[in-house]
Amino acid sequence: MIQARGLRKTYSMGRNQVHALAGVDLAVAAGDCVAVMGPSGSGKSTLLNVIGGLDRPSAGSLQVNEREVSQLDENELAAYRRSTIGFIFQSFNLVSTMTALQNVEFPMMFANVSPRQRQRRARYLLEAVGLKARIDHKPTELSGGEQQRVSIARALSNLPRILLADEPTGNLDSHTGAEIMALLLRAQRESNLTLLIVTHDPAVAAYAGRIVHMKDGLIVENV
Amino acid sequence: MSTRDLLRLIWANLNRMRGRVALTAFGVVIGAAAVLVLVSLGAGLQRSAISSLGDIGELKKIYVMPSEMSDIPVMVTEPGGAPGKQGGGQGNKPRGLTQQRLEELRGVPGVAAVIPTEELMGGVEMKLGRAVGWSQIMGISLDDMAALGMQIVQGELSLLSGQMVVGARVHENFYDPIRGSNVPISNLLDETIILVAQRWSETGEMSERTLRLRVVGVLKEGGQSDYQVFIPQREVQKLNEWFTGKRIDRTREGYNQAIVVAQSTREVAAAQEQIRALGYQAYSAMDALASINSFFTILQAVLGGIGAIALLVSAFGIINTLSMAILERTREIGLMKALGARNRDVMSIFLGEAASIGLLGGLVGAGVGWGLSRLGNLVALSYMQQSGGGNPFGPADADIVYTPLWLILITILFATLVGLISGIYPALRAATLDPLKALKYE
Repeated sequence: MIQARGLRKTYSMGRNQVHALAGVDLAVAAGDCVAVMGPSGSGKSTLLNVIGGLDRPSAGSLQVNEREVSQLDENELAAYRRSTIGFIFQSFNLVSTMTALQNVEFPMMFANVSPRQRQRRARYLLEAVGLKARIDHKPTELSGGEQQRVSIARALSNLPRILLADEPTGNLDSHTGAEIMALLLRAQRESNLTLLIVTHDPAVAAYAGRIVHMKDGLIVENV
Repeated sequence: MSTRDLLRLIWANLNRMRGRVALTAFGVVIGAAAVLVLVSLGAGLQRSAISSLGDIGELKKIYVMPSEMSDIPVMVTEPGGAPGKQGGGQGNKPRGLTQQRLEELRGVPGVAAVIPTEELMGGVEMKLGRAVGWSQIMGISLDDMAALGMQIVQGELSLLSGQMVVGARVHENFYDPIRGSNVPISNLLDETIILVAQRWSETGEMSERTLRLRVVGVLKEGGQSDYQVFIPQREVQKLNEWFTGKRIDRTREGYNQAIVVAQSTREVAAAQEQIRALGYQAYSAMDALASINSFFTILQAVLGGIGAIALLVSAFGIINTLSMAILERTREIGLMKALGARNRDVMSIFLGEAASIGLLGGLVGAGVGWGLSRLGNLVALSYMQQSGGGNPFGPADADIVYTPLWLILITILFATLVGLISGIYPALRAATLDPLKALKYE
């Protein structure tokens, strides 16, 4: 499913060159659940962003579904993010002026899903994440856990093949975090998605079938 | 992204910052209203000026004279010193518009009718009681009056022997010769006017001849006929024979003037050109119309340009408001991109917001401008009526400010376009934001 070879990402910070990714080789099979761990600045978020098509690698190759992602142009990259990837952020990133339902519908607008179908699917997803009663609430009226549930529903709306979660429980207490992890894994199993989770938390990583450790832009341990 | 979704999103975004949108649109309102009022003023003055040329019937007329007729007869002095023969040396060729020549004019493409008119060859005064008046007296037949499209507002269109039809403003031209002041006459209908023709013999003796005519009709106002008096052609011919002291045979000599009526105002220019090419002099109100139109086109462009400056200033307001909005919504833009929005989608949203502010300002501005135009008309009209002048450029009760429908539409369209163009820079900036940096933006 995901095949990275010699993946590099170099930022220039003033005069210094920072190697966020220093030649990452990684293969993830379809339906796998992988936790990426490592200290701050180890490059784990950069890896996730490159795989998600939000960032371009400086060198190396990244194949997703046998397609070379590093060669895609802007529009192809947008289409790739829209149809293949579902993002889940640490800070939820919900649109504060939209209701839960509208937030879940939002990505489907860019995929040209008809309003009726869009609404039906958003309702179904919100019900599936246990927010049936909160459909018309705005993010400010929802708890952190509920907001993260909305964002999981949003990530699933365009039927992605890969879910990318960057510290999904980072802003939640451990009990809520466990609920969110259970929900993520359920979604992953039910739709046979490939799930990549970036986390500091060994308890979160324990949910994954496979743990990858990173340090200084390199994978140091692949369990 | 479907157009419907786009519009809905734009509406939600504008609603979210409605206070700032209202303030920004207010700038556009001022600009659009200024454009509308100023161009309306230009259009109103143009319309007044054109209507002073006369109604549509007047604009279709071409006044034709044989070019020789206008030559001032001069005494040509031969180099030898003896007085030579009179005239321009056209020989015995008839100078007037003979039946054959009138047929030639009727054959010109675009000509609907050719009406020969008999003009007086000497001075004639009109007398009504003590009052004396003057007017251009035209001899015409009843059929030809109808062909000229003359309409009666009082009395009837009739031109039997002893009858006359007067233009709408003929009654204004009577004065008292002793006191030297104007004599107000409200209505000439059914009055009997005495025409007094005067001629001097070679020995300097003056003789007079009078003709009593009853006014049977008053013409509708508008155009050259306002100050003219129409009497049967035969009466004019008789007076002319008395003036010149010889018999006039129009079938042989021809007429000295004819009115050519074009099929439509569009045919006038071409027909006039052709008639001139045939060697006649030809004048029409369209001559004046062309120069009036070109003058007012420039005037309107200048006035519209002044208004457009206000719109230009408002464009910077739109750019500023949207630039602020982009700063506030940077994370949201990043999110949209992460969710798969294309650069084009982001661009359309911001362009749409800019155009909507322009449209909103244009709609309100056109309304305000229209209201101001109406108000301006009322004020101007009451002021002019007080000062007794009336509209100096046209009919007394005509609007000074005139707002045609196309101007309202153009103003709204123009304001929207200004909004759209103002949106280009902010929209481009939003569309090309790096999604990752945008998502991390605090």
